[in-house]
Amino acid sequence: MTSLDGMLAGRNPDDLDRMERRELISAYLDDELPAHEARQITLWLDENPEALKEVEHIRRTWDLLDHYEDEPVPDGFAQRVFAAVGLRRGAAEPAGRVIQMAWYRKPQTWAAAAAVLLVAVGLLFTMKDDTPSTTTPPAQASVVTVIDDVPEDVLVYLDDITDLDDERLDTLIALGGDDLGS
Amino acid sequence: MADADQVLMRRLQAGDDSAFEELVHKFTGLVLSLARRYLGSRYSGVEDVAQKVFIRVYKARMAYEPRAKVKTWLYAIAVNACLNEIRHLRAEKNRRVSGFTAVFGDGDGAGANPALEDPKSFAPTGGLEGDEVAIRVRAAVDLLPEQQRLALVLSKFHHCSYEEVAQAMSTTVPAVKSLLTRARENLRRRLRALVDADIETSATKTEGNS
Repeated sequence: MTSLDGMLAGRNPDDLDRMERRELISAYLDDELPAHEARQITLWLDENPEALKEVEHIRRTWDLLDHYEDEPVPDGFAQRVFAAVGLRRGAAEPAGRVIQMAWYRKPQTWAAAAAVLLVAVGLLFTMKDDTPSTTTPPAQASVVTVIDDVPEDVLVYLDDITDLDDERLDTLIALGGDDLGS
Repeated sequence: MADADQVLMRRLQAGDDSAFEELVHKFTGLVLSLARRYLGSRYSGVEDVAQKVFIRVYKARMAYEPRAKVKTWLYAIAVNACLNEIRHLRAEKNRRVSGFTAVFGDGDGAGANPALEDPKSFAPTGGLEGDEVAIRVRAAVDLLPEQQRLALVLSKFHHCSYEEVAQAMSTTVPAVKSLLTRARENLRRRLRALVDADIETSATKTEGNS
């Protein structure tokens, strides 16, 4: 281990202040000292029974942590994770709480919105073709066209009220004039 | 040459969701263990936090770079998830909800279980039952300040080097060294009676055998 090279930097552990010595011992116990410094500490402890006793106390404290045992993984944990990220679509409802992504974070939400928008735009364009134009005023129907669309009995009536002979009426129709009835 | 975990991550980045399933099965124990010991043995939201870690792994899979160990990257995500949870609980601090006290205890020893400090609370010769030792040890760890507790959990229970602990905690090696030193001192103070009893029991056995 070289992450703590030079902790001693040539000094004797007795020359260190209390905190430095504690940190040195902690790194020694964690096997984080370079080999030559670890050997130096071992020799120093052999010559200092009080320091050795203290280090032994620290080591046993750390060993007590072995009593802090782990707990088993809860049943179904992995399945709940897969459901949360959408890897098990259609699977049976898992036991326990599933952490779901917020709706606005799901790509499916935005894909669905885009699809709806496309359909709406498509419908809009389709409806536009069928809608009669309201901007252009209806073309002035020619007399010929109007007369063509008028039922026969109405034509007879027009004939009567205008008191026009057939020849004159036909001429008027051909010219598209507006003298009818005048 | 890529290790097995890095190969899994490459497969996941390439769109192979079965690689994510393998990752979850492989690292669930590790993530739950870290979350459980960091957030406190009594905290009820550990599984939710662990779930968030894996959701984050899946969402951030393209951000993983092969030069980092997968485990170290995972630790960093887990630590961040736990820190977010702690920040959330801290926001409710004044209400003294049970979740907060489960994670933070009552401070650095103040108001802690007096049995931890009382050397008369157990028989020095017979020692405590195993479960009672475990309870006291868990309580002592739960009472550590959160940064010391995290460094301890990563170093002791996950066998991380100082360098790996520093990466997971986004800090420096000297800072890790300092945290672990202080964690040892705090634990030694809280568990002194247990250790003294353990030493005395060992000494008695040695004398009996000689």
